[in-house]
Amino acid sequence: MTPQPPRRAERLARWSLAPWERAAVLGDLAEEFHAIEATRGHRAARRWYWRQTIVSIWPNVLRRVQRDERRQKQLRHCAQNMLFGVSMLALYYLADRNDPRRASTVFGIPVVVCYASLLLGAGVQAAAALFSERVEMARSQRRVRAGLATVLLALLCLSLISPPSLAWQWLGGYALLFLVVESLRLWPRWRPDPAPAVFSVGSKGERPLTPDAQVLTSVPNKPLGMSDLLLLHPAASGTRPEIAWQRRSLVQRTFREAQSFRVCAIVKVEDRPSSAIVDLVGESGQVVRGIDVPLRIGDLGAVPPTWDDAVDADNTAAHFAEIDGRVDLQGLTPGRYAVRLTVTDGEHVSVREESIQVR
Amino acid sequence: MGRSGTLGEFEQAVLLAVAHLEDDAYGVTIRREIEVRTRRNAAIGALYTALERLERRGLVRSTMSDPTPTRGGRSKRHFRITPSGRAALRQSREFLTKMWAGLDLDVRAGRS
Repeated sequence: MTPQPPRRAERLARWSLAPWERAAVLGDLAEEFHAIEATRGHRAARRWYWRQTIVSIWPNVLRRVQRDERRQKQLRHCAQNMLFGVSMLALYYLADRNDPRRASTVFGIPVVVCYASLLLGAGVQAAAALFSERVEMARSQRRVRAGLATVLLALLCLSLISPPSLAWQWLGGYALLFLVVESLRLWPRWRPDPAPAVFSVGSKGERPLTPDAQVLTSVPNKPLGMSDLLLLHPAASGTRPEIAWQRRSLVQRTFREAQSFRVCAIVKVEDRPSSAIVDLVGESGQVVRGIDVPLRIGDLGAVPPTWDDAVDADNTAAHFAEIDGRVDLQGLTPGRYAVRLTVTDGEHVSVREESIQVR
Repeated sequence: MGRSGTLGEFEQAVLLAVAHLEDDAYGVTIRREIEVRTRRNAAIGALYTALERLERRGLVRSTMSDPTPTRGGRSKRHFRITPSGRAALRQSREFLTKMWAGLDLDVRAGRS
């Protein structure tokens, strides 16, 4: 039986990693674990795995937060609240250490109002979660937060009605719990591995594509849904090349359970192009995925016969580069993306975009 | 690392490792390359943080490979250096060369 990496460490690493990079990083850890296990023994491999996991927790969580806009907002909100809590405590001590009841009234009432609304919000969220399709974990996290908010509120009320000698203790407890609750906001919420994406390709054209090209590697034997013939002509003036775009498929198709898709195209060039890049661009204009696509360059004879009629008769001396790349869809948030194909011939750059919808 | 465009020491190491490895650059091999060349042990989390930063700046690009059984059915994330990455490395080297020009630093003697 093949020895497996320590399960608890693997679970810890899985927890700290964002869903879109779990497979790659856990795969790296597993591969190196097996390599160390073969050379230095099982104990050394386990030790190495645990060490890597623990040392990597902070960078993993940080990376996850940096890339997640929603979490960044949470982080900012949390920092503001923490600052508020700490400054409230400092003000309390500065205001009147001998009369904690007055101080707690001054600083407590706004906080009571604030947390009453928070409690109400948490209650509504918890109720909404009960009726939604969220996973059990998220549901219980909301319950925990709602419960903590209730405890905070109770502590504040106690600080207001207690004798002065006890009030500062209640307030101290309140401040401590406040910080704990705010720290919990930073706790990365567990999410299941991303479900296979459903996406549709908004490509139009005139006829079915060549049968040998396959767009979706994860949906075998599906007919081709997206591929186009790109003709890259250097302009007559020699200033920059222009792309003549000839569409090859007409139907807007929807593919389910797609983990990735393939971008296939043929580029006709005078000079051999130096590179082709496929980017997946989000609605904000940010590149969320990018791959260098390998180019296979051949002469006209290498062009599949079904594409012959698209080639001008006087282009017999041209070179053709076949582009074939795969874009990973795992971990993508739903939305509209542009698939951008950029071809450079060393000096000039030509760009072509096509849109997809990930749901 | 300077946010303005210069590369930090670790980022340079990572980028150079990716450039050395060419088509075979992924987490495990990049880490080994750095370890073999510099004798420094890089944590996998720190490595991916640097790679993520480099990718966001357009200096490397990544692509996922097919899953392999040796990795528990998980795929590899391959990295490739981009033309901008090469330019950044060149710029970094030129910057350091200019700073070192005319300087003969004798560390053992504690003087320059």
